Amino acid sequence: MMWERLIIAVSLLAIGFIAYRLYHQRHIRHVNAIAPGDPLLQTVSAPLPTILYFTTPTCVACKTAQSPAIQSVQTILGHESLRVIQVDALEQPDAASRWGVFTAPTTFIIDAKGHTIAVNRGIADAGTLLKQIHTAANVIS
Amino acid sequence: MTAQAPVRRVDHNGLKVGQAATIILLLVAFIISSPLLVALVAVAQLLGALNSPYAPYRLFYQKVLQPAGIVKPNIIPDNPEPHRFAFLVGAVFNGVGAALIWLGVPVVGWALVWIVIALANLNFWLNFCAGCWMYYQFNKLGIPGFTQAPLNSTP
Repeated sequence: MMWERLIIAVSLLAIGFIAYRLYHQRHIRHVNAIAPGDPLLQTVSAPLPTILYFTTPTCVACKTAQSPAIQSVQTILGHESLRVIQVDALEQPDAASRWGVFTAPTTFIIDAKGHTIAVNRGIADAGTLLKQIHTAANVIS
Repeated sequence: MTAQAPVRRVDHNGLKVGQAATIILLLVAFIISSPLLVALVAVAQLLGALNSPYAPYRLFYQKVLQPAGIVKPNIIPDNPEPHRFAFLVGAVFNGVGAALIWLGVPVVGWALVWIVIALANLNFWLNFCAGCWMYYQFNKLGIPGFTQAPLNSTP
């Protein structure tokens, strides 16, 4: 009986994990499909890796943790190597909807060709962002 | 010169400990089929919701994990009330779940417990606090008791 319940619990957790991974992959495919014509990225003139950062005015974690982490990454890499596009999801709900954002902060790491290589739902620290940007563009030497 | 209200702060790692403990204990409760453990989790959550100094999660965090250096505080400006409300929602779900299991309606009872497990996972891994979201919606609707509006984080 206990083994049966253990198997059920593990199965449910595995289903949840797999469902999340499938959702994540589908989300990446979706944003890669819309990115080329998306107005948010039209401001990008030079081919630079980009952090597309969704926040809200009421997101405390954005101010206390996510914004400092992004500023720190920008300081390390330099403004000429990395572009940050900050979007207020409450001011631009259509943009949040297009990009499938349901929590703040959410950060998309986009390479110089406009491909999204990572999505962080929740706080991503500076180390994580640096690794993802490194993958995107090899800008860190 | 106007007096400014002091900035309210919440230790978010303390909350994470509560979420992790809830997930682990409820999974164990399901595996060993123990509505008693579900009820104990409900009581722990209720004490957390009431901001009791004897809340088990708080004691475990402050007396064991923090002194041992296993978890460090992450204190950031925030309203504590929505998080307490989230604890209360969890306590109600678990309390009703435990009662239903005892009353011979295990499928619905365990379904309520699994909803708490799912929401706690959502909060732990993705920082989405469903109870906090409900609290702020009630605040927007002007429902009495939900007095705290979201902190404005703009400088």
